[in-house]
Amino acid sequence: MTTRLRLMQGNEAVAEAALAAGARFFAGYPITPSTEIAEIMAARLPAAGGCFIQMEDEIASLATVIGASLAGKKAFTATSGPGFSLMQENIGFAVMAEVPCVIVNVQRLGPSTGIPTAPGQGDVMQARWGTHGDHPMVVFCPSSVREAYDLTVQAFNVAERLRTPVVVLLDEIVAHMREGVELPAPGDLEIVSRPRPAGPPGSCPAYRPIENEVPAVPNFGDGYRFHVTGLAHDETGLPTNSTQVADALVRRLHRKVELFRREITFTRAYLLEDAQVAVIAYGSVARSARQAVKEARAYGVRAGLLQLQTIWPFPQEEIAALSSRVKKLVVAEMNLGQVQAEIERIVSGRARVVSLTNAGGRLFTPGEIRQAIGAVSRGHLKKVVHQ
Amino acid sequence: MEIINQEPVKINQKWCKGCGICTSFCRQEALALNEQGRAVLARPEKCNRCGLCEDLCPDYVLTVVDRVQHREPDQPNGSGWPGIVAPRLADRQVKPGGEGPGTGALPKSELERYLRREKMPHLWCAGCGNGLVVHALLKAIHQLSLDQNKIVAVAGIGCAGRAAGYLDFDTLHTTHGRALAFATGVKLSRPELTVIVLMGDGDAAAIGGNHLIHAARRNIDLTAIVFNNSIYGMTGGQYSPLTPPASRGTTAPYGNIERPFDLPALVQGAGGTYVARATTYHTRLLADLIKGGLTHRGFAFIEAITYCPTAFGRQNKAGSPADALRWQRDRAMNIQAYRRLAHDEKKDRFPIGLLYCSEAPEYGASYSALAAK
Repeated sequence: MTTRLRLMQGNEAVAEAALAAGARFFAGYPITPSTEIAEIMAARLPAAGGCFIQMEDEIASLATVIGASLAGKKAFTATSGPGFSLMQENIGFAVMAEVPCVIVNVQRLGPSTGIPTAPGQGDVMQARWGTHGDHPMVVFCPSSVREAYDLTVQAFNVAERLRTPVVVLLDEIVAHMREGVELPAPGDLEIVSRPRPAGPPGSCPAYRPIENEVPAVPNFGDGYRFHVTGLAHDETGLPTNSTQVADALVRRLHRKVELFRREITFTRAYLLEDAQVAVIAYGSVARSARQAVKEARAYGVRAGLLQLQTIWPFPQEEIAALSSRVKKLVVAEMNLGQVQAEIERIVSGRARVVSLTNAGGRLFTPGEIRQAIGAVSRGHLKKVVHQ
Repeated sequence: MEIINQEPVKINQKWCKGCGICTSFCRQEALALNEQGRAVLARPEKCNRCGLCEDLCPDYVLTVVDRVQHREPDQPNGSGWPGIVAPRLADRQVKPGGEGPGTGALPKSELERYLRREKMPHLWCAGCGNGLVVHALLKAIHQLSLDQNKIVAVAGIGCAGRAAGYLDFDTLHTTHGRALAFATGVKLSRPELTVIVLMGDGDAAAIGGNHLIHAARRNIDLTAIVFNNSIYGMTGGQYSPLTPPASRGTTAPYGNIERPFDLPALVQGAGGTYVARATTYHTRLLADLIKGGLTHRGFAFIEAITYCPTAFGRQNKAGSPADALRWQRDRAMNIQAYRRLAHDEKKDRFPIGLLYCSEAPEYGASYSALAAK
């Protein structure tokens, strides 16, 4: 009897998911700890009828991905912090010009070159605000190999449906950890492709929103002869200096993501029903947190976990609902409180928020989080705990 | 469109910016500028229909009716300027009857087919040579009878980058310096498309320099045209990697102390397989070289020497747009003739023509071969 169970690492799951989601173009530049994704795509894409190219840097990588997407291919790239920094320029272009693409960022410790082989979660705010200007962002954050697969498929679907770049934010642990996973059969996946123009060339301006504020931009080479630019532009795609048109464009870019917020906000609740202390975590930290919650329960503390799979748009409704029930929140993350600050903003004093931080590229042990849960439940912890 | 039908030259005054190139080059003194500074055919009886005004107008204002065969001494490629030999590679591609005799003219009606007319007149300053580079590109496309639906023009940022918006193809106006990388994605994704990349000198040689050498090294089938106006024009005249030594820029107020790139040599050294240069004065040569680039299988690079009368000309007291075209005429020299010059004689001269051409595996073809294995 055959089984679909496979032992694979997170980076491998991302590559498999991309292929399953229909990705047929990859451009990238080698960087630890994301390189396996490029290596797998280099090996697999030629036979899959797709194209792989190693570019001269990460700026070029995302530019090439955007070009390929405009010509009709589902396209993506993978990188880590230093490369993600270089990509910010063209992430903004993809937002403004509404080009579907996926950027995988396997986070390592920063700032700068940091510790290339150590995990980090310091890119949460960069993923949100790294490129200049007001822009929406969709960012997913898996904490297991299977989630890396599922959220990568989602990333392509959302990118295509909303015509916007989507970031998959792994960390080094999730990327390199190997787990036995059973992947869905290809036929069981819901695969979404970008909206295509309904009429012949000339019947509708390329950037006029068709449904849910999303335009059905044609692909290059299909005879529509339209213009794509990062400049503020009108419905034709041609540039404008009209402040009114620019304002309407930027608001529409936000609105199309906002309209879709509920469908792309993924969280996982664990033992939250009767919880008195809730841990909020994402990425590999959520794994330690889950174990910590289990252990805390064994000690008699009613603990639970809210795992964030979507980081942006921020799951504000879920957090607000949680904070109305659970008055003690522990936010554990491998940075100095990037998500915690966002949670404080939403909780707005309704619950006590304790921040468990770590800026050295080390994963929290379950014991550390369990101790924090215990201390918080006894009311002993100060507001912020620096590890 | 308002066409003032003053045979033998049709003048579309709405697009005229009064740069004075046509009046300056008209030996017959048939053309003049009116009170509004727009071109008019003041003495139609004197016009000998040589077509020079049409060839050198950067704003596509003038159309000479029934152009004659003879040449004026000033005419690009004409008898008065013996150096130019169109490259054989490009000559092979000339469509019979596709151009005026020896003039390389593209009738206005045909030219406008390739323009987004609602965006015209273009935003370039009076006398800017960028319109001439675009004209040459459209001539080349027209003469090759390329399918308008299968052309993608990819442009960078700056004055040259704005060219894409005027062209009625699929057009992509990218981020500064990155046009070649975007174009690489388009080409690899749909190899059947003709992908043309339009860049400025700062765009291609400074911020985009890395992408330029790597596109050349890969020998990917793109036709890259650099509008070299020796300056950052759109930002108001800062020196670029192609600003001549001692020339002034707003960031080189005491004269430029940097050494400029020899861009064709750079691209050749990086592995480009078709390397050419022309000026906006040598309109036919420029069109022929672009045509050669479009039919070349691999990375084709054409440096178009153009002139920025506003940001470069004023600071450097370089004269009128017409003066700049004469400078191009007098300083440029066909590569064959240039090579025969002694070292000292090469001073103040620069070579134009097909500077280098070779064959090498094209990236897309190599990838397809790999995928077929």
